[in-house]
Amino acid sequence: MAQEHSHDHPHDHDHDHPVLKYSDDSEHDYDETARYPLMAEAMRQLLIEKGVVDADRVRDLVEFMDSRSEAIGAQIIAKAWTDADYKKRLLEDGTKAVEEFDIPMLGAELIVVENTPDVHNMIVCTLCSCYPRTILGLPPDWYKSKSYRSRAVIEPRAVLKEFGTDVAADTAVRVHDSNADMRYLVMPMQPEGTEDWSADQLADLITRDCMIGVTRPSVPETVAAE
Amino acid sequence: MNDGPVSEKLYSAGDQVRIAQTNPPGHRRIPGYIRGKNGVVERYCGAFPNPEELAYGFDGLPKRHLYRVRFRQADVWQDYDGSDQDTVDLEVQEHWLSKAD
Amino acid sequence: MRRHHDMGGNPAGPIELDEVPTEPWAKTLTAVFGAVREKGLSTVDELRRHLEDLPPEVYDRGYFQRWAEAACDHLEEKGLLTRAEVEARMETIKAELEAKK
Repeated sequence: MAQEHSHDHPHDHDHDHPVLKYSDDSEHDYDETARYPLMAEAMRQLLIEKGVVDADRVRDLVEFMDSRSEAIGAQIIAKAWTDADYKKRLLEDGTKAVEEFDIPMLGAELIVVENTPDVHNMIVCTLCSCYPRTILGLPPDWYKSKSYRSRAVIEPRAVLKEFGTDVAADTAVRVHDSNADMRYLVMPMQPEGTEDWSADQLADLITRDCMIGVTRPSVPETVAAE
Repeated sequence: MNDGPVSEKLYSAGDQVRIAQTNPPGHRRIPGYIRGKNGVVERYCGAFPNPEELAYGFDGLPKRHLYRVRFRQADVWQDYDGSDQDTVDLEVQEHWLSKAD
Repeated sequence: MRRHHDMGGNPAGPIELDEVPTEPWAKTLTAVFGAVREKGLSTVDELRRHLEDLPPEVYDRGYFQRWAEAACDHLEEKGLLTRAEVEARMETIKAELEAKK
């Protein structure tokens, strides 16, 4: 029982929340007594007790994080594909254009780079793992990996092949090392045959990996056959 | 107090620039692979607090001009295996740049 | 000499495409640090400096793992908590969790 223990320290656990606020979450299959789950929770508790941060604010920030996903980026790109004026605004000033969707950039600025038959863009952050989190959610593991961070700049075409993406020799590969105050989003090319699709239909084709620039959107065969 | 940059920006899109080949200790946002390389200013990004100061708890002011610089991959890596048109872009604070002709 | 975090261009193995959903503790950690930043008590640049100062073997433990260690060093440097307090509280929480089992 979580509440039967006694302890000397002067705080009282919030009875609405178990010792670890995620300890009743049946979804997880990791050991919450391992070093890092304990460390995160210890820092959370101490900073709340010391009045440095507010428990509700921490909860709100987790919720905000959970509300961010590739669906947001897909919505933006689909809008740009179906609205030439929006596309122009998005390419000219990404930060301002995503504000129209109430997306904050939290101090960074957004640059949207457009794929064309002549140019294929891909994003990396070699020094850490900078990523447009308010638009795509948290970055995937491979984006943070030593392999991707090391190799994306020196052999982008080989890396793209590992994602199943072949870029023609006469198409320039443009790598963007996201190393300072800008964040990047790739606007993929709209697949052929989708010209009369609605923005919502198009959004389903636009994946996170397309917007990082390691894959291209494709029309599922079942749809294409219709 | 003026939060803006100390001086007018020195470069514009299209300018040929060189990244300083230097290795000072401390927190720097210029990756090793790009130091000492020549590129072309792709755009001016604006002025931002200096990360080299922010990293030590200072306010990073005055702000530094920031540019996106485009490098030909063939100029960055020996034996680059790709197209001559392939490029890599990075953001560089003005104090890391000098004119290259 | 290039430091451990500055890895662009280094030889490395194939990209591992398997993904594991972010564990709740990692989100908690990120949110706690976000809340500290919002209070103006920290910057991401300072956290990066601590990340870069970790020994390579600690840095390589994983993304959120290194974040936790760097945040702890950073918060201690700021005088907001001490590593000894964190380690002690970890023991307390662990005992509580084990008592529940």
